[in-house]
Amino acid sequence: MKNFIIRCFIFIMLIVLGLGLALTGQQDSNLGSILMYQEDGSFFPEPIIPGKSQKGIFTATENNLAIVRLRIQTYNRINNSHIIFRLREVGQKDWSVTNTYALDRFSDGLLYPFGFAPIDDSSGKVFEFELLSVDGSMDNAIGIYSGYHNMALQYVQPMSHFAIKKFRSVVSDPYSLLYLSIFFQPAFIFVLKFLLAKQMFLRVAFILAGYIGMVYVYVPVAFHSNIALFIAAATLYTYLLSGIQVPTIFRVGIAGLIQIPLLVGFGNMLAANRMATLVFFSLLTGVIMAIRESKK
Amino acid sequence: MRWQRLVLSCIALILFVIPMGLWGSLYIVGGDDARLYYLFPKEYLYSYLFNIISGNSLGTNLGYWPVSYASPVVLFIFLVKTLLPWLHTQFFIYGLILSTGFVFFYAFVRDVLPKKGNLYFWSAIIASLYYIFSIYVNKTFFQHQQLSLFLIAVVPGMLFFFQRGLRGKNYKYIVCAALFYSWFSSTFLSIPWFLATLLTLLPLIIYFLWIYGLRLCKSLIMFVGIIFFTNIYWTIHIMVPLLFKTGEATIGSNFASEAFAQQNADLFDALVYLNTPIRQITNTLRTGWDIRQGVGIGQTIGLVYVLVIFWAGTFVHKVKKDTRTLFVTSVFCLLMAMIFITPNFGQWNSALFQFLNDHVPLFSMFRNMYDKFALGMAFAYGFALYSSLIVLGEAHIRRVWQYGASAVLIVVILLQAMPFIWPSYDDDTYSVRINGALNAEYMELTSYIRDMDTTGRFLWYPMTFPGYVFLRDQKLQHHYYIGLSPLQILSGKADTAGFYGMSTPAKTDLNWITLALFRERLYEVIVPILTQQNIQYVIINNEPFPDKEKSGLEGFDFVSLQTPEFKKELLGEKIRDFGKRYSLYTINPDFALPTVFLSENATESARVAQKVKFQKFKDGRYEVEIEKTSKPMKLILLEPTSRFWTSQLGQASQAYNYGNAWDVPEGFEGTVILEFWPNKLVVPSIIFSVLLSLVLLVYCLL
Repeated sequence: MKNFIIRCFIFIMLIVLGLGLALTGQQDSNLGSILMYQEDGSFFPEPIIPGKSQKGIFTATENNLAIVRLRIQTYNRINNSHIIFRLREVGQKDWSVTNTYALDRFSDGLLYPFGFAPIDDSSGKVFEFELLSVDGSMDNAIGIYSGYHNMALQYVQPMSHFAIKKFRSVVSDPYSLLYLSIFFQPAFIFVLKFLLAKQMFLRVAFILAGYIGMVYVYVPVAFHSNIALFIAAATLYTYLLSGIQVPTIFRVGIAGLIQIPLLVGFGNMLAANRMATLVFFSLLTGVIMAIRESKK
Repeated sequence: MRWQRLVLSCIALILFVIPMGLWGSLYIVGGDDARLYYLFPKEYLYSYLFNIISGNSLGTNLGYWPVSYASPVVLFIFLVKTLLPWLHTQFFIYGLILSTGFVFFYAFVRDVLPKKGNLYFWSAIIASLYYIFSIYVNKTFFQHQQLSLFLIAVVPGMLFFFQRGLRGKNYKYIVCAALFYSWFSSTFLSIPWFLATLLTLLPLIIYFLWIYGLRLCKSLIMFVGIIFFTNIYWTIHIMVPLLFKTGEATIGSNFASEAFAQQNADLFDALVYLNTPIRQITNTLRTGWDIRQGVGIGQTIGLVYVLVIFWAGTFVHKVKKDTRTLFVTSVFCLLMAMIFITPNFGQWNSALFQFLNDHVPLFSMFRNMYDKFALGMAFAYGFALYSSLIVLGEAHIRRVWQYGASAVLIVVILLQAMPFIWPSYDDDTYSVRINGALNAEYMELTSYIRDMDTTGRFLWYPMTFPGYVFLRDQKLQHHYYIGLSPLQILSGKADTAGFYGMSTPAKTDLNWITLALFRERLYEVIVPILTQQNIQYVIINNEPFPDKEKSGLEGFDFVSLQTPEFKKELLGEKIRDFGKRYSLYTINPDFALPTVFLSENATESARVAQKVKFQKFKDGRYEVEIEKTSKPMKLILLEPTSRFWTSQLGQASQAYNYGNAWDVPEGFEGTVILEFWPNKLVVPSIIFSVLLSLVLLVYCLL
């Protein structure tokens, strides 16, 4: 009974820790705002250069619209030109928002936040935005990715029923669910250790360790950079708990490593860099486990 | 075995001839290191390296600081140039560095795991080839080509001797390691790279500590002691200000300053973006913001090194304990190198670097970490590659896989190294490679200045922002020397060449103050600032700026601010022209000051109240004859300020943010000797260092 209570306590602590990390590690949407993806934005694949601007129209579903997020394509290079973002309600003559951005630190594959003062009565209104290049050229400008979840709108508090809307926006979005799931992996592993037979647990632990790595690499959500450290720690914890052998850990590293050329080839530099980070941690985990095994 | 020695010798020989055979016939010169020691080693030794108070910097003001730490290397270059004058000295030395670096790395890894057999031989050959051709070495060390380049050979050589001494309980090898490091590393000049490499090799040091225990501690004490005492010819001048607690500004205190640490903090933040994590894994490196393109698909062939290490990891449980320990140690070294070369594996990584920068004294010397940790990265990668190949061999994987992996590694190493082995130069419109001689007019100018009987300093017009001078090659039209002013080396006379040269140890922000004065066009204030720094002559460089360097030399509009009106205010009488390229003038006599004079004050604008007769001797002493003074005055000496200037007049104080001043009572008359007493230590400390080195060398050879 005492052991059961301790295990329950550890399980709850792992859930709380996971939730805490999930809330603090998400960078696309903080606690005080709601992120809603827009699936109707289609953009041309070429860089935005003078005379060739990207335009879009969307309808705001809530009040306090404050950020338009667009998935940026850097074409695997540092672009040191500038871009103007402007926004207005459809039908208005003047642009209500006009901001200029330097492009040298735009991250490839992530949603870049084009922010402005919250628009109180945005709900139901149709807006148009435009991205214009100031001094770009074909080899020195960014573009916008087309496709799934390439655009999002962010609304900030206060708004009515904020908590419910926030909850709905999280549970209805596959990216958010995938993101959240990785933080509960240590708690799952902890429980499964007691529920499953040893061989089965070993397999499940291995799959779960791979799963959180894959989510980290392939889901293009902006994490806090230290989430990689959490994933490494969670993986090491999984290995230790399940008794996965050292060769397997290095094989996992190889599996990650050989994906890098493919990711670079397909131009997915965000995933390639995240995979490189995981490869680094795999090597670290591998040698730590090798030392542990040597001592045995 | 004989055939193994033959293979090793052949590779070493090929490496030795690569620079001389494939890198052309021109000398690569210029930059912060000038790199003229390959052309003028004798002049370096004679006119520059052993100065400690004035004439110890190129185009700048350094104060009391020794620069002789490079003298053993420059002496070695001088010997090469004297004995083999027909050879291209620079590429001969580079070839020597490549071949000895290769051989020492081979010797080191073979000695770490002293087992015989083809597996160990070929693994060591591949790892050594990786080390010497690593992009981490050739995109940093062979790009800036500063004297720290010698570390490529010195680090593995020193570690080889040290390790052999530890294993064989033979302290002669420890002495050898210390001597080898002392003579060929330029010690102080290469410390940031050397310490960075040691930091990445920390797991190896812990491994040694685990195996050798107390013997390692004794050896380390001996090693550090020998380095200190054999380098006493320059370390003494670091010790003197510390022992006498003068609080003089030194390079060391500059590195330790909060302002410097803060500058670095800003730099780190930016540099984290220069290289993303994929760089460490794919064995590529971005060294500047001008390289805008990210890692391409072709560059991912560099993954094979990590792949081999991971592959070996899958067999590590099958090998003997010593091999396993070596594998783990080497991989930890690699991980250390990866997190330091660019702290980009997450915010924890950059925070760690930042923490060390803030709390570890002198850690800020590792600014531009992608350069400082590059040698450590190459070493750690090579070391991990060696241990991985050994693991694969000892695990008895199928021969075909073993040979295949080795072949792929060799091909990738050579493919990545091709641009380094066979570089292409674009010299058509602009080049910093010269044919071995600066233009005849410049040489005539330096020769003339050498013969001038003056203690005054020279100013370049126009001055450039980085303090570089641009001197055209003797024969080749678009080829320039662009770097620190070599006037001190070639003429023995000090000069100021640019923005940073206007800063003085007594007032480090004087250059920024002067820049503000330039903006306000207050030339009548600027010229006295210059004359108070003992500037008595002006060299006009009539050549136009090389277009490609214009923006770099211009920084903060510093060159354009030196208008014709400033020139008019600056110049006195023309002394003579040197062809069409250079003209030599005296400074405007309205502001001119002699090196020694009597003044009514030492803080406001300098004015000669009473002239004195003086003579400067070769040992740096001044003999000053003062005629009877009518009132209390200040005797001014326009040499860099220091509390170590002595005279019978008592303690010197600072004068005009640059020089020294002594109180002279009313009615004083007579001869005064002004002496910088640490000068007395120069010759005895050199003799001590040379004798100690010789004694230790004999001990090693016996």
